[in-house]
Formats: sequence, structure tokens, C-alpha cells
Amino acid sequence: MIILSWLVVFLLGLSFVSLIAQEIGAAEKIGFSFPMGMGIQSIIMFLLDVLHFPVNNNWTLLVFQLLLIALFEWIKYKKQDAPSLSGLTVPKISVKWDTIRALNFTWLLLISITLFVVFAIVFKTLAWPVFIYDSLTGYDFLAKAIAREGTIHNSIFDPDYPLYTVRCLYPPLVPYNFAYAHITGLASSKIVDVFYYLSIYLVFYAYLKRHTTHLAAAFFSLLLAVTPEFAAFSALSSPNPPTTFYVAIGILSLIIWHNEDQKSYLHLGIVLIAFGLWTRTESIIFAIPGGVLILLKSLHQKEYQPLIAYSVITVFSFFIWQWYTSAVLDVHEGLPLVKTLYWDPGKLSRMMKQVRWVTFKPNYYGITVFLFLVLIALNAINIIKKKDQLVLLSVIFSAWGLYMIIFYQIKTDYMPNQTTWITSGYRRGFFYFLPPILYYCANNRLVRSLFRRIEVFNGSR
Amino acid sequence: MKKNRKKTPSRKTQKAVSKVRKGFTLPLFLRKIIVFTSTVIMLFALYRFNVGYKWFYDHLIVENLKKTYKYLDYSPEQKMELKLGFSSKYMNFLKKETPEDAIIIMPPDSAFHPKGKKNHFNNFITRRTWGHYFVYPRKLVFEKEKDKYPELYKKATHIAVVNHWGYEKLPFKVKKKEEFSIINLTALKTSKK
Repeated sequence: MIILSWLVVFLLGLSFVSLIAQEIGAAEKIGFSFPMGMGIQSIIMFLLDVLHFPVNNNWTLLVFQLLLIALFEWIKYKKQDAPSLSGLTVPKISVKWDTIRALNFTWLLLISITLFVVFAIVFKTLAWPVFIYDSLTGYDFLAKAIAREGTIHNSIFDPDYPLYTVRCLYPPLVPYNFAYAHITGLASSKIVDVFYYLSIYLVFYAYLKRHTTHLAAAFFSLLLAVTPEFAAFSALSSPNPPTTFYVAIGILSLIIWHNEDQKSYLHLGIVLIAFGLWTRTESIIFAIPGGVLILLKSLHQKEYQPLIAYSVITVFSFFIWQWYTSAVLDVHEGLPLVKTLYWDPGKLSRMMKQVRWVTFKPNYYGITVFLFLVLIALNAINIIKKKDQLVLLSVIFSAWGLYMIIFYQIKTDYMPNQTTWITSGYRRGFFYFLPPILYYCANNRLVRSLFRRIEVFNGSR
Repeated sequence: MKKNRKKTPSRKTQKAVSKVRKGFTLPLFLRKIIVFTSTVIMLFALYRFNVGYKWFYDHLIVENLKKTYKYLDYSPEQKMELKLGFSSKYMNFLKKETPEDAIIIMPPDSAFHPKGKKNHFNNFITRRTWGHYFVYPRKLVFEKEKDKYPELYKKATHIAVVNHWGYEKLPFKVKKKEEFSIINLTALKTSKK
């Protein structure tokens, strides 16, 4: 039953991805399946919850999942005027001599290391129970209550004896999926993190491979896999790695659409950013630049459908949970933000000092940030003259700027040893920037050219 | 149009270029070894000179693999105890010894962390939500919050005994006091009747 339940989630995601993004490759479709399936799964559970149906009945969930798969397949069938099931077919893998020749020793080495690292992290994740404080007092605690009581509006939010913490108030994608793990009979909810962890590498590799060589894709995917803090957190029970998948891959999808005008990536981008907001509200730092990107393209093409679709879906997914927490759960707490703009140079200076310390600490992100800045400097001429990856850089820096504004507006003075907003919150929130940063590192003219030369020298081309 | 037209090199130049290129071309196998070795050296340098990657490999991968393999047969509760210490063991004990509808009185902070005595518990144990994770759906009502939630306190079915605290709540004297235990108030009331 456990295997069947998760297989259906996978098929639900695969069917949905095949519907909204028909042109993407098989690896991308497989990589997207679990995160998309879990996103839709959380929406099913939320809707059932709003309609006062118990969400802890596995059979009910299974019926809705299968109905949705049937609906997606029917839409595909109608669209194509032919028997569809395209997303459910096993991709054809053609092994050609040229392909084997291209798989050089160095690529094999990098991929082997990545696989070993991924195996070690997955092994650790599955072998140990949930033990981090944030999950015990938040995500997994709420998940246990959902699984037992059949609703997110459960005894944790009892006004006579409230047990919720601020971690229970994040949007419900992660708690619902953790709850689903408990409902299916798993002893731990950490399988959810495993699926996101595996998916992000698969999709990131596939995205890198679109413009670079296999060797470059393997190298930069490895750099993502071995980013110390990100890997460490992927083995824990936290919503940051799922958010990283949704917002980082979502924004990269929108950039690919912006550059190549492929509708599939627009659809993926919209859905992923909406799921990001459905996981953690701070995803707004990428949702806004994403919206600007779509606005500019819409103005340029004089086609406003994407802009309307993006605005409606993201605004809805952002506000529906705000409405639910205040109207149904009757909780009116949130981030302690100053609602007006103000100027406090002392606070800004103290905050930026902590931000600098976290961002450049090699213990957290290895060489990623340094490499990114060095490559921007080396590639400056191409950026200025040829606008090389200017859109991507603009998105990264504007999202980071917005993130800084949010931290600046928090009601704290950032005195030493007083708050952990930067040393905890920002430290984990920076995960969202890692895939776009590494995507830039791999995809600028300088590195692309370097890797092409290496591949020629290596006899792979 | 003129600008875009590339000047084709003469045959003589082409021959010269290919001769020079041929002169510098190493055998394919050797080139592959060079790229492979350079990558290995680069990866080793990253491991050797970057504290983050060193921690990643030594601690997060190697040490954790060893530890995970060593405790593979342990139950989730035992693994939890390895991570969270005695606090987790004690909370699992409360869960095991009480029914699902139990309301348990938890001691004040001073009982968990007595001055001048060995400290068995972590700092999280005195936080309401953290303890509830282990015993859910049972309810914990902390001694420090008895005035805040008097109704729940009155309905308590059990008392958690920590560092001998808890026996003073009973209307009679207990001869043999355990350091850590649980008192079933419902059973006491029934036997009194």
C-alpha cells in the first residue's frame, strides 16, 4: 500500500507535467513528477479539508488522485485528438556509439561522486527519525496531528490550549505531505525530503545540459550536491529544500521561457512559483522578479495571457493561506514586520555584517558564492557588451535585494547574540539562490566556451 | 554584406595550420588522462583547502555513514535517544506508560534543571510544544502554567515525576520515591473510592 500510494503521487505529477509541458525531455518530466505530484496532493488535501472531509483516509485520497490523473489524461487526449498517455510511456533510450563516446572518464568520475553523495544523504535521511527542533515543534508535529485528526484545523490550534508555534503557520504544502507519509503508514515523514533532494539534481542537471556540455552539467550539479549546508539540511526534515526546488527551478524555468520562448517552461515556471508560495511565503522574493519578467515579455509580445495567469495563480496561492489562518484557524500572528519604510543605518550596518558573514562562510556554501562573483568579474565585458545572462543576473540580484528588504523590515535591532534571523533564517533561505547562482556559473559565455574546449580536447566532441 | 564575408585562407595557410595543429595534438587517451587527472587534483584541492567541503566529506558523509550503519538495527525511539539524549527517553517513557487521553502534569523548570545536581535534560524539555511531539495526543500541562490553564490542570490524570518532584502532590506520604516516574492519579482516585 505504501509503494502504491507514492507511485500514484508520482504518476499524478508525471501526468500533470506531461499535460502542461509536453515538449520537455524525459529526464525533466521524471524529475518534476514527485514535486508536482506532492504539490497537487497538498491542494487535494486542502480542498477536502475546507469542505470538511477527513484528509486522513488513504482510500479517499487515492480516489481523488486517480480521478485527477484520468482528468489530465482526458484533457491530453482531447487536445491531441489521439490516444495520449504520452507522459506515462517509458521514454525510449537509444544507446548510440557517439553517446557512449561522449560519456568520458571525467564525466563518469563526477557522476559517480554525485551518486555516492546522493546515496549517503538519502541513506542518512531515511535511517534517522525526525529530530530537529523546528520540525518537532512545527512541520512534523502538525503533520502527525493532521494524520490523526484528519484536518489541519486540529487540536494544535485549540484556542483553549494552543500548541502551535510560528512553524505551524507556514503554508501547508510540507505539513500535508508529511502527513501523507504518516497516513500511508511510514514511520517517518523524511521520505518527502528524499524525493525533493533527488528531483532537484535530476532537473538541475537536465536544465544545465540544455546549454552546456555533459561535463559542465556534471561538475556544477556536483557543486550543488556538495554544498555543505544545503546537503546537511536536505537530510533533515525541513521545508527549505522543497522551497528551493520550487522557487529556484521555477525561476530558472521562467528564464528559459524568456530566452527561448518555449511555452512549456512558462507553464512550469508559473506552477512552480505558485507551489513555492504554497510552501513558504518568503518565496515572494522570487515571485516578484518572476512577475516582472513575464510583464516585460508580455509588453514586448503584446500578449497578456501569461501575465494574467501568473498574477492570478500566484496571488491566489499567496493569499488563500493568509485567509485560512486568520478566518478558519483564528490565528493572527505572522512575521514581526515594520509596516512602514524607515531608515536606520545602524541596524542596516549590523544586519549586513551578519549577512556578509553567513554568505561568505565557506562552511556553509563552499566556493559557490566566491565562484559566482569571480565569474561575474571575469565575464564583465560580455555582460556589458553582449548582455550575457543579464536577465538571470538581474533576477538573482533583485530577489536578493528583496530578501534584504524583508530582513531589514523585521522588528529587531540585529544586536550581536540577540536574534538568529540572519544566522538561521537567511542561512537556510540562501538555498533558494544556489541553483540560479550555479546555473549562471555554468552558463556564462566564458565557462561555456571553456568547457567546450575541454570537451574538444577530451575527444568527447 | 562585405563585412560578413569571411576571407577563406589559402590552401598553403590551411596546410601550415593543420601541420602546426597536428604537431601539438596529443593522443586521445593521453588527453583524457590529463583532463581526468586535473579534475581529480581540483576536487582534492577543494576538499583539502575548503573547510566546508572537508566537513562535508569527513563528517556529513563518512562519519554519518559509519554511524548510520552502526545503529541500523536500533528502533526509531532508540535513535531518537541517541540524538536527543535522556529528554527523549523520558518523553517516550511517559508515552508508553499513559493512555492516549491522558493529561500529564509536568514539573517546573527547576525540577528538570536542579542547581548543583547532574542535569539529565536538554533545554527544550520545558517548552510546551516540544514535549507534545513525543506524547501526542496526550496533553502536557506544565506546573508553571497551572494558573494560565486551571481547567486543564484540574483534569490532570497523571503526574510526571522528575528528580523526585511530584510526590508532594499526593495526599499521602510515599516511602520509596523514584527519581523518574509517573503517577497515575485516576488509579489513585479509583482505589480511594
